[in-house]
Amino acid sequence: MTDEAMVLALNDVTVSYHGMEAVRAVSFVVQPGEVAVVLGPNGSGKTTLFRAILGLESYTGSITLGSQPVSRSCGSIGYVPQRFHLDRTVPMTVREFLGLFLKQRQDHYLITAALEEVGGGSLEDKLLGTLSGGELQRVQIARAILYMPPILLMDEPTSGIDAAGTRGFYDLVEHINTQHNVTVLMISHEVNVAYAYADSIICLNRDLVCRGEPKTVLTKEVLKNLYGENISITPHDHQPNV
Amino acid sequence: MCELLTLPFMQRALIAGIALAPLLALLGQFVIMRRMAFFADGIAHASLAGVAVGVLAGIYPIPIALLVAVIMATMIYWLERHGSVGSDAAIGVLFSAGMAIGVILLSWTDGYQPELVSFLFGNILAVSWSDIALIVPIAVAVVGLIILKYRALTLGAIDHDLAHVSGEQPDRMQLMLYIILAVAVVLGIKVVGVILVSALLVVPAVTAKLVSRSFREMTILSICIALATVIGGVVLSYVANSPTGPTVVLVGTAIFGTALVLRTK
Repeated sequence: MTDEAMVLALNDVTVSYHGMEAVRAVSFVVQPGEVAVVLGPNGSGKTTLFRAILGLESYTGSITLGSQPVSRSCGSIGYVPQRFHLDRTVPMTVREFLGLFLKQRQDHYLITAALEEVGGGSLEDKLLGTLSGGELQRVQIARAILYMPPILLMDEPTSGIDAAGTRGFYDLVEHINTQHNVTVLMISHEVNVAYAYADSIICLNRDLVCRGEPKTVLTKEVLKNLYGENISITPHDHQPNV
Repeated sequence: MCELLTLPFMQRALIAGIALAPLLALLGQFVIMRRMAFFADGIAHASLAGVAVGVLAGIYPIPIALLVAVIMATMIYWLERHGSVGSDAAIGVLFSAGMAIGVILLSWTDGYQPELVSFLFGNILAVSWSDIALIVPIAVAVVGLIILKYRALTLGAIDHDLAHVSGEQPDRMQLMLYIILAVAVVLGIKVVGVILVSALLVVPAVTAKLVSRSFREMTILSICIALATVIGGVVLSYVANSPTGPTVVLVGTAIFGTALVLRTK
């Protein structure tokens, strides 16, 4: 797929529930190879926007991947959800779980390759219910990159993971982005993560509040607009701590 | 045992049970993964209205019960999406209404209604060759459909959104699951009855879940446990001269209890 075909463009996207606008007239473009982080408070429409991109919510406006509507780009977008709904008492191995997402039975070698890619080679025969939060997210990434899609959407992927696991997780995302040229669009609550890993920031509070490079757009005014007047901002000189 | 197999009613009961066990066991996996045991129970109870219409009209009741169950399943699916009531509440309303209609209609028939007791608790003597002619081909066809759509049904049971992103149609799969579940439950009524058919759906799958180390193992074990439960229960009910439905369910419960003890050891 060419770089042009991998441009994700949202134009005037509005998502409404029962007459209430959860996302209002949002437009932005995510360039190929970019790591873009969507920041915003709870209820700002971040997950709703992702669901619209994935075709899980109806919307007005347009969402395109390259020259065609995103709805016709099945398989071009990998998705790592915030929560995993499987009953953890169901005895399903990681290999069986990933096998459900193969397009053809003979693609089973992709399971081992994807797990190796995310540093989860030893997880193949483990039961999903016995995995830690960090391991489970690695399996979710392995699932999302089985066919190495051009774009990866992640919805708060580190919620429920400890600090050490979180750092390893973002290193992994960086690896997938740089080594495989996968565009990453990620929701996060963590401003320091945005500073550390994002090429660009999309600030959302139902409307688009800001869009650009982290150090340029994440001003005190923007953060107050996003999180309210009571926010406390403490600048650091050192590398952002994830 | 060999003598039992020469008895025509026992042959019919075993044929029906062996056809139904894999179907109910396969569906049972999705039922416990989606936590929808109440759905199966509700459909079984509501289908009594169809049974009653058949009995009152003097026609073979199972096809009417099938029709009522499929309509109920579709209504529950619709109410979940478009109604302002929750899933459990929708099932609760339809289940009690169907059961109430069934009991009232049956009360309009004169005298003692052996059909009612047989449909409520199951009766091996009540399984006819007409039942076999209906149960076996439908059970085989539905098992075939489940095998064909196994990946999509499993994905839908794991996570709706992931199923959608993988190119499946989870909403359509959910409606299909509801309908085939309704069909399977009504077919199971002949062997274990309205009150207990959901146990046959849930108990083998839950037992298999307790002792399995993979999903594949759970699937195979569910089918084996369901077969052992139905065959063991039908034979025991004849030997002990006890009601078929409760005996089948108690055999399943005994297997579950054994698995639980083995697992905790």
